[in-house]
Amino acid sequence: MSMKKKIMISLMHGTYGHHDDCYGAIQLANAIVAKGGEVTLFLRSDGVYFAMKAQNPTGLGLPNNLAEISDFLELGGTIKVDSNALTSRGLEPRDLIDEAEIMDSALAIDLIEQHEFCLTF
Amino acid sequence: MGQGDNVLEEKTEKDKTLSILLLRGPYVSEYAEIASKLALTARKKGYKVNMFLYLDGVWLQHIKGFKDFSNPGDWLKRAVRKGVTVRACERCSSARDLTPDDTIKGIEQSGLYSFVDMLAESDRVLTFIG
Repeated sequence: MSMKKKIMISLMHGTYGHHDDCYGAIQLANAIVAKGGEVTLFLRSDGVYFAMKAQNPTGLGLPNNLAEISDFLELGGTIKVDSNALTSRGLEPRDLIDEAEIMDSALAIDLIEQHEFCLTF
Repeated sequence: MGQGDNVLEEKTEKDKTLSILLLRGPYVSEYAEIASKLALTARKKGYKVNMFLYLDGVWLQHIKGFKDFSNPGDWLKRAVRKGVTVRACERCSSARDLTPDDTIKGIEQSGLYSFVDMLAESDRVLTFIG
């Protein structure tokens, strides 16, 4: 079955070492875009760590999220980042991958309205 | 289109599909139980209901035995009996050594694309995560 829907995936947990939520979210996002759907990953709260440019989990023996993110972007996916979540953690846009779009928190409701479903991880 | 035609085209609950994505296992929170109970309620209202067990949510399919306390596996069994389509992520299950022989009957372990298919046919989607 092809997938024509617009899905927003809100990612709120940090990555590596505790939950596999981030990895699960990007796996699902890639499956949706591979079947023709449109996906926006919205990074909020600790989810902003997902798009860190310099992440390297080699020492943990876990796969690097950047490989999955690269596939996601190549397949047409979009990544947006809550600006408040970023600054409150002492992070700056330059800490993130270039494709991450910083977004004012107040626009979250607009983002939700632009999508048919919102899944939270 | 004549007057009232738009009303005829509106979906009732009986035509609608609800899909539930469960991301947390039983007992760590009430979400597994709440998800199954909600699936049952939606079935009673006539919805077609799908449940996909993902990440630690796959543990719910493993709760098969009798408990003299709250039993989220029982609620899932009821949901299956009442026609809720339940699928568990094959990869997540395999990672946790949850084989089909070791899980509630009537639940298929399948790839993530089966959840994408559920999304494609859904009118409503709910995620349960703690």
